[in-house]
Amino acid sequence: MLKKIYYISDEGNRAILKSGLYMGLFNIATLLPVILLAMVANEMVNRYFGITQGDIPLLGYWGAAFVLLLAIFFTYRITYRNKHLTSTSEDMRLRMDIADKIRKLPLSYIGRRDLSDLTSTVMDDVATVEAALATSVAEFIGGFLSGVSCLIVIAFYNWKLAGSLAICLPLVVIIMSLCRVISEGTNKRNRQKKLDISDGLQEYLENIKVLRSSEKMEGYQNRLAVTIKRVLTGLVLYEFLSGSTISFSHNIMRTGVGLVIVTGSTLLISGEISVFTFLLFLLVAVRIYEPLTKACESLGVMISSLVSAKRIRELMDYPEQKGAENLHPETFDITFEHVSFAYNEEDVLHDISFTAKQGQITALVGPSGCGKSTLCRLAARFWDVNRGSVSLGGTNINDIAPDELLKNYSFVFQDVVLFNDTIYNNIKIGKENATREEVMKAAKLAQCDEFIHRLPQGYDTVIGENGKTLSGGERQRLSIARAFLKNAPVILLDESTASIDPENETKIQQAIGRLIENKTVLIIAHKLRSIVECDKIVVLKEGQLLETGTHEELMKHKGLYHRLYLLQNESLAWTVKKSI
Amino acid sequence: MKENKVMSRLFGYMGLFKITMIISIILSAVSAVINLYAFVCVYNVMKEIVQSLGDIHSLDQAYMVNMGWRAVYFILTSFGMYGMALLFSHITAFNTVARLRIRLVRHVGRLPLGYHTQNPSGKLRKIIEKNSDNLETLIAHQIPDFAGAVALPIAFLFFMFIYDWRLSLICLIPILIGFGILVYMLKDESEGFAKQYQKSAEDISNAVTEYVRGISVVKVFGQTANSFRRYKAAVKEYSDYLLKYALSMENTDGAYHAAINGIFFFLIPGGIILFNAGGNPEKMVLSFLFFAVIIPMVVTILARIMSSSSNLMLSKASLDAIDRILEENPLPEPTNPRKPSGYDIAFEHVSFAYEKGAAKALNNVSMNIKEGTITALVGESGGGKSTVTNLLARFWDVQEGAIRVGGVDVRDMDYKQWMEQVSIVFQDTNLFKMSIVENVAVFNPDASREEILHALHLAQCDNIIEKLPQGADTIIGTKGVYLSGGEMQRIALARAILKNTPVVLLDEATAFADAENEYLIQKALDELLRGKTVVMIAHRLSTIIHADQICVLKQGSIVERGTHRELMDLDGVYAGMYREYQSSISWRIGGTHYA
Repeated sequence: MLKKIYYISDEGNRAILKSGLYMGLFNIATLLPVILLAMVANEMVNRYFGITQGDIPLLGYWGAAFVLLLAIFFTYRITYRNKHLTSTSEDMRLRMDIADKIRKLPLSYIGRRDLSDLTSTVMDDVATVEAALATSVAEFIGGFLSGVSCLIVIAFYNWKLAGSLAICLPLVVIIMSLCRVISEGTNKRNRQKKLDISDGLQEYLENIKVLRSSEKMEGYQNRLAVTIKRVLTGLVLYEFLSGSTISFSHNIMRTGVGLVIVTGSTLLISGEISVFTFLLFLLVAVRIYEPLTKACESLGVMISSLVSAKRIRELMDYPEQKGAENLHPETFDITFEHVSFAYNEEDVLHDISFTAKQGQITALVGPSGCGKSTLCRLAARFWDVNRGSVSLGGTNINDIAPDELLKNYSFVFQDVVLFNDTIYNNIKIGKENATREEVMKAAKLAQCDEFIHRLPQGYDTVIGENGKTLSGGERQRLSIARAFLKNAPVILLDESTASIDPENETKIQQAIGRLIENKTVLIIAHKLRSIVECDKIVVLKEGQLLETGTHEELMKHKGLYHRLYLLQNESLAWTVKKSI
Repeated sequence: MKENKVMSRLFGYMGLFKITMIISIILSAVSAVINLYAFVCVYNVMKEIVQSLGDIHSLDQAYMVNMGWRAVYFILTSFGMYGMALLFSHITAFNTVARLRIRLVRHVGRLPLGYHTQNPSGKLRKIIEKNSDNLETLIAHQIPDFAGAVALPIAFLFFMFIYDWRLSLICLIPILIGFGILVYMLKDESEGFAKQYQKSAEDISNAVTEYVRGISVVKVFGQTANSFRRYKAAVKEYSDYLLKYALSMENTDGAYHAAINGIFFFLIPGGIILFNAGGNPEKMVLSFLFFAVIIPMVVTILARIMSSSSNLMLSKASLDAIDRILEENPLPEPTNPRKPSGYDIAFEHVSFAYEKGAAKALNNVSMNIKEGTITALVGESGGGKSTVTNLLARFWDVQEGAIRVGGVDVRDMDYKQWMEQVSIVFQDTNLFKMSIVENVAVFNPDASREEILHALHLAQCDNIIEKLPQGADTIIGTKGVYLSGGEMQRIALARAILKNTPVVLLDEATAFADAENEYLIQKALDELLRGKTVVMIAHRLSTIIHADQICVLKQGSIVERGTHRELMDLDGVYAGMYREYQSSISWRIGGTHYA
């Protein structure tokens, strides 16, 4: 069961159960001195009433006590050791498994989920689950085992007294499960209200520049304060329902202490039990609930860690894209056939058919939101199409494993990802076994050479987290260098990357120009004048393919392309008006 | 002590809820003492038995039953009070956190906007949300538990000396040993471990971020193994460190638990020796029984203190993060704000660096901007263009020199009044989850609907409104209502047109808008800029050939200044940039234009 809930390995599962067992042994070891104490008390009583004579044997009892002390120390130590070994190894394994899984997920999944969200899944959830595994599960098992086994053992001794100790336990179970049911509704409502706070804070912080210069600041802050306060009653209510029920049930459990006194005194007078038995039970009564309480508390922690465990499970169960591991296409034509695609319900692309031929440049044009980028991403199987098919050299890409497929693609998009490593290693990502000469040649072709030489350690300069020490244009050119090194037959390109750094636009343009020679090129185009020489222009609007053709053909056609082209020429001539 | 500092800071944030906190502490302490009484009842029963052992039938059964019920009663009362204590502590916790959040919200609202430029909204939100959550647990659970833990030993001490004092002292030995170990561990922990742990945790968090961010690249380039290795190394280091630390504590932790669970190991020989030595045997038996009964309570409480000590360290880190925000200085407000007489802008020997010791983003910059003229800032990225507009908008204040508007230093003006004279149109446009009408009217709450619609019309937003289900009353961000970047920019322009300020700060960057949006944005800009004092950051040099003044910034200094014509004649930096620009716009993909 643990395995399913927490996504742990067989080995981990066994180790945790073992931890629980050790924990139980430790609990029992802490309970055993009770017998010793009762025996010594009994010795004292016997001597006080003259039943026995002479000194109480010190060494025997102390020796026994010493043995028990050692037992406590060593059972604790082994529990501790086992617990930490298991939790760290499981923690590590889980982090590795998650990372490995993320790697296998479709890129669409990573694109859709916010980076910080994904990171927090890995970090926070694993930490929560790990904490639950490290302590709570073992404590629950140990507490439950030792508590129940002790009750069973003393039940053989005297079932009536043991019964009065245990009589409230079922009640506890009922109360605790009832409280879960009752408080769940409040809990859900609270979560919603907390989300509202989160959203409110985010909106506030995003718009703070506007708010600061408007009259709305105070009003907005007051409204946010109301949102923040709105959750208060619900939280207190939830706490009252859940928190106090838990401590209530703990105490219900402990009323057994009183019941043992009541039952015991009757039994004692009727002569059914000896003084020693009674003393023993009284001493047991004040101790036995400790492990059981811990077990209850741990159960609570385990239950609340389920949310995290569930998130991890969702990630781990997300379907992976599969397909053939070998691909040797004869051409690198990309063909869209009646492709329709929807992120949710509404079609983003509808019945699109065209071919981007090898060695040709195909440009995608249209107003923002028309589906250009989606089309590009479908070509690389970031998502799978809903209807129709995309094929590479005649093979449906749905039948090709994504990793295999991607070997044939290079991307030059705006979001460049760099690693906190040297320039050299960042370029080398393009081709794992590249020589230093190859890397430097790629850098030259991508016009990186000049800025790299300005850096303190040249190619061996470490560029900081995501290359934060570089300008946008420099980052872009590094990504182009990677693409040069990879030399993939298919290139997907966002034309706007060229203008990411207006001051270095021509450099990037030159690099791109070289990169795309003789490749299958699919371009998302914004500046229409830059694509007039493309082999094919595909004009999209609201997910529909309106027209295809060369620049000349489309201009003659006088459709959307014609209109956009004229508009853009007018924009190009725009200047600020001179003041009068 | 560090912990005390955390506490006093926390109490400072509680405000009036100090009262509920104190009630909670008292309830928790009293509950602990009452709980102790339940144990005393058990002891009383034992006492009754021992005293009537000579004649078992003299046993007062009614008394014992009474004690039994009393124990139940005390336990339940103790629960009730503890429940109440928790209720009060939670009321305090939730309210303190809410107060703290509201205080943070108000405080960040007064900080210079530069602070928000440097601290992204996501990061600030996390601090406001998450760290205060940490404090919630501390206030709600740990403080009352701690109160109980402190109250008990005191009561315990008191009881102790009613019974045999020698036995009491003997029982204290393991408790003191336990405390000694705890102090030793905490000291060790707070020094080396906390720092190392934090670092290790940060490393792993960076590694995860880098890994996740890089996954697309990694996939595309088939380089899974390599990046995975880096990630794995970070995870392994973190795990190894945690394990190493945990195992180094193995014996200490074991000793602690053996000590607090080992009171019997001292009580048994102590009791035997003292009993054998003679004296009052009855008192000895009773004392022995008393301590035997009471031990478990001590164990419970000491174990609890142990487990909460690590959370205290976490809370301290949270408090620090919060305090760092609260310690940021708000923008200073002048005591006697002055009003500018006109809108001539003058930079006088302005120097500014974003961080102490960092290179100057602006270095001794002086320039004049005449009212009603257009000034364009050009130059390479990092040259200081946006610093000029940021300082004008008072995102930061200058460190040397002064910026004067109509002869008045911007720092001597009322911030809000100055902001009412300036429109800022930058690239990053955010809209509120409100209707379009409300979004446009955000600076002009009194604007009539006609005025708002007119501004929307001038900003070329008519076709946006037409396609939305409720027209201009459509709420942005609700299901299915999303605007493209270019459309949001036009709404923001409508806002600025309605605001109609004499000064406009503009970042001309429509590069990524599509053809249609770009065209419309330009038309909207024509409306906005008419007759205004404009300072604009220009990227596409063709747009500014008619500007009244072009300033070329390089490494924080103005290297050239003049009209397009003048600068072209000068044939310097600007002329070079312009030629480069000309060649970039003639670029044809797939053409043969590259050299």
